[in-house]
Amino acid sequence: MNILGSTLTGQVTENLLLVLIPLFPLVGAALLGVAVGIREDRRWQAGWAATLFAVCSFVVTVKLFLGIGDAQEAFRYTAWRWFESGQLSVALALRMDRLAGVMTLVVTGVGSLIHLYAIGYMHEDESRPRFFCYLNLFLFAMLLLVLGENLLVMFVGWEGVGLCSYLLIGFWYREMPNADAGQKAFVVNRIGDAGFLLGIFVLFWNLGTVSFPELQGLVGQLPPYLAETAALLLFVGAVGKSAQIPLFVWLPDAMAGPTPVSALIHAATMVTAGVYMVTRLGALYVLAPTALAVIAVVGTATALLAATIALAQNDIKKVLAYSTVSQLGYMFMALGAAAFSNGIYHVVTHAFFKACLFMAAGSVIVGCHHEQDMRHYGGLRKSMPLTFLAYLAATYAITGLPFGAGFFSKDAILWAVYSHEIVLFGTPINRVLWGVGLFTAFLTAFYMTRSLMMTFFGEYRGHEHPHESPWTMTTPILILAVPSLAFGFLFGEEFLHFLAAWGREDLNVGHAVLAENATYHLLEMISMGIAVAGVALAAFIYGLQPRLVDSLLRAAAVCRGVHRALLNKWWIDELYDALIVAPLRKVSAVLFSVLDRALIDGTVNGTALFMAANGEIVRRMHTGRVSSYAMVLFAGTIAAIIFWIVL
Amino acid sequence: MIVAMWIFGVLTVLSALGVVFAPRPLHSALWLVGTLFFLAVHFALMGADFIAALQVVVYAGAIMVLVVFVIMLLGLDEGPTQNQSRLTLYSGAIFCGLFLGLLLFAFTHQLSFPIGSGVSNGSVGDPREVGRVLVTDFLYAFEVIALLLFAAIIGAVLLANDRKRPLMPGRGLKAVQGSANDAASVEA
Amino acid sequence: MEVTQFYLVLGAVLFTLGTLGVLIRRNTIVIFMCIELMLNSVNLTMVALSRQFGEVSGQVFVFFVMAVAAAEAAVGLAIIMTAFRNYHSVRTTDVHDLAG
Repeated sequence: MNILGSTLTGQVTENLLLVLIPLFPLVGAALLGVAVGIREDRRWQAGWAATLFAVCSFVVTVKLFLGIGDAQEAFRYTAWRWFESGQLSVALALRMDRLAGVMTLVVTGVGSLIHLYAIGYMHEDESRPRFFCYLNLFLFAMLLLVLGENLLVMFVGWEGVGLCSYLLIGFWYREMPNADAGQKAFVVNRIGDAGFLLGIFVLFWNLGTVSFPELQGLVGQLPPYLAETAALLLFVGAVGKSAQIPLFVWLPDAMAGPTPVSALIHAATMVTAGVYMVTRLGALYVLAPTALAVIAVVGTATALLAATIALAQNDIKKVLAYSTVSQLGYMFMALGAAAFSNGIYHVVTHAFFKACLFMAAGSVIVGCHHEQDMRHYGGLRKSMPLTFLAYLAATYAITGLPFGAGFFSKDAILWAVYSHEIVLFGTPINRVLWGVGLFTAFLTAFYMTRSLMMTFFGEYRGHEHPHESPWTMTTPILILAVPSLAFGFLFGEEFLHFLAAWGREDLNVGHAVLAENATYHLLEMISMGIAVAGVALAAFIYGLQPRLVDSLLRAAAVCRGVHRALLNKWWIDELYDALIVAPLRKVSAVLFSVLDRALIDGTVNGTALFMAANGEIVRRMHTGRVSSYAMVLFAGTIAAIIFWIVL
Repeated sequence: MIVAMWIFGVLTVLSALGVVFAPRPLHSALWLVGTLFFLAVHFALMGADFIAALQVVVYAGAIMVLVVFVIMLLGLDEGPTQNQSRLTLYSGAIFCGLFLGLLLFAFTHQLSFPIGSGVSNGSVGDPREVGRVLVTDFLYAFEVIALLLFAAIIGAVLLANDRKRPLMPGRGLKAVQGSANDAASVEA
Repeated sequence: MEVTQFYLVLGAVLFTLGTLGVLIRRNTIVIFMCIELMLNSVNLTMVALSRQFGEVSGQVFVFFVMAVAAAEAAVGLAIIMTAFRNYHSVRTTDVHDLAG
């Protein structure tokens, strides 16, 4: 150790520590993967081992994060030169600057808590080692995505999280819908990944590098149309991964996976990878105003659409899933306004409250014996007080009521959109987007309060006796409830300052200065009022007048129609089936029968048949009698002699 | 010499015909002994005394004795053996005729020798000369041949010396009776 | 007829007779003897050519051919015995396990 200590000083030691962050979960995954056949009475150890590796990773992250320098500095570690081809030289390198540091902290921190939670959630499952192996593997891939020094390392992580998402959605693969959901997620993500890859190609083709620091300096050389192309292609990748229109359909189905998975992958971390990627390439995106406008529009539309669908869902996890899609839309709205740091801000607060919500929902689901329909809940605040407290806190945060985490991050986004000229086809649209965002905030407040009321208030409508969850589950929820409430209030300004390099100049000044801006103040009041209105309306309808919705549906045909549309998610899945899946199947069927069966199989089988027929003929020559062989040999000799004489 | 050459030539061909067409293997063997002896005469006529002596000692003396032994041992000389099918017979005859015609054509029209060159050299065929060349110029090949013969002896003993299976099931010891089934199954 | 030519023709006739025997006979022993006949016909031509060119190495080759023939006789006859042990026959028509 002495020798090591004398040579590895300061920065070098820290750079080595950087490797440990992804290495811990990787080792955990490998060990658990080997130990899948672990003894039945020892299976509980798998969860603790996985949690230990996640926590180790978190501790190292904290240690590094505290020593992080200013925006331009970063810890770097180059493992080895990965491959070289022509002028392309790619290193397997990690890099942690402020942005990556924040994301790493969220991933490992929330990830550790969710690991702990999963011990309780999965304690009856037979294949826990496999589950925790996937979970650790996911953590590794996500850390690779976040810490990758260049686009290709990020892409490896990108695909890795996709794989783990697929594996974990279909974790209970014995039931067909789960396996289908996993497949759907995978296929839809592939569409986005293709765009992402093309974007990487465009960047490399024109700039000759894929490394982020180098790209940052070089993107200025891109002609505008290429910048727009690259930005849009990369955004296609983000659309797939972060479940935006039109590729959001996989995320609600992904709820087929175990709830810790929904919390970790489909709420807190993986789905925000798209936001992170766009932020990481912020230098490129500021050069592509049209792409930014598209991002803003897509984000806003997604936020609105998902929020409307969430209004009518009865499955608690579905509500949260659509809420996630909607919140991701908010994040992209911020990116569209070039306020990348605000997007990341919402990523972080969203990670807190949405992970908390999901885990609380999971706790409710376990407590009610795997019932997910909110119509069979009610009054659970008495039987599950801890879960109720956490859910309440997280709902408070997401609805945007004053001084919750969501209040600050959502306001920051709305203000960024309002104050930034977003032009699409020559028309400034930022006010429209702001209005839609505000309306979505109202819807958010409404449906979240609805789920809170249906679950925890009123009379219990289920049959099984509900019970509170064990401490391994309630502890992480309660821990996450704290930042859900207080993060924005305590650290919001510092956070935005910290990431100032990724934000807009005019937004960097922070809350204190903005407070003197009359418009800002007004907007803040409006959004606050909207949130209060949404919460109050939902509380009134579902708390005091539970019959109101039913009677409304019965009274007006319009209401019934809208309700049906919302319940069926605007028939988007059916639309995709009719427009894309069904024609694809028909074409495939034709190709299968014509190309595969007739042409390829025909050729292959024909060759085999031809050879078999030949063999049948030639076989007769092999009589097994020496004299016939000798005869043939002799005939050959004669032929050779004739040949010799003639020549 | 020419006369002797022609007489023994005709005798050689006749006895060779006997080898090929004699119905019983033992008769074939006896005809072969004759052929080999006549060939030894030809060697002597050509002045190759050493080879002529070897021919009689090695071929007629050793190899043919071995062949006759095997015929007797296996009891193969039980009667005339059938020839192959007609197809084989005819095609064999046609091929052989073609072959002979080609060879004769080649030897009479394609080859030409410098007539009489070296014939006067009396030392060719002298046993001393042959022996000298054998252990000087061809020493290496000579040693290899020694090794080959040695290997052949071992191989022959190994192949022929199978105590578990007698040559004649039924005539062997009681202990090996069971192996008849064994052989029968191989046959099947 | 020239002496050398006579012996070449005689060799050719003997070789052809040996080949004919190999082709048309069924008995392995007879086939074996026919092969000996073919070897001897070649020996004859070699001695004749050795005389023609006054070159002693032809006779050395004959010596080698005889040695090889002796080895062949030993191994070949042992093989015939082994085949007889297994098939109770030395006819080529009875030994055809290689039939396709």
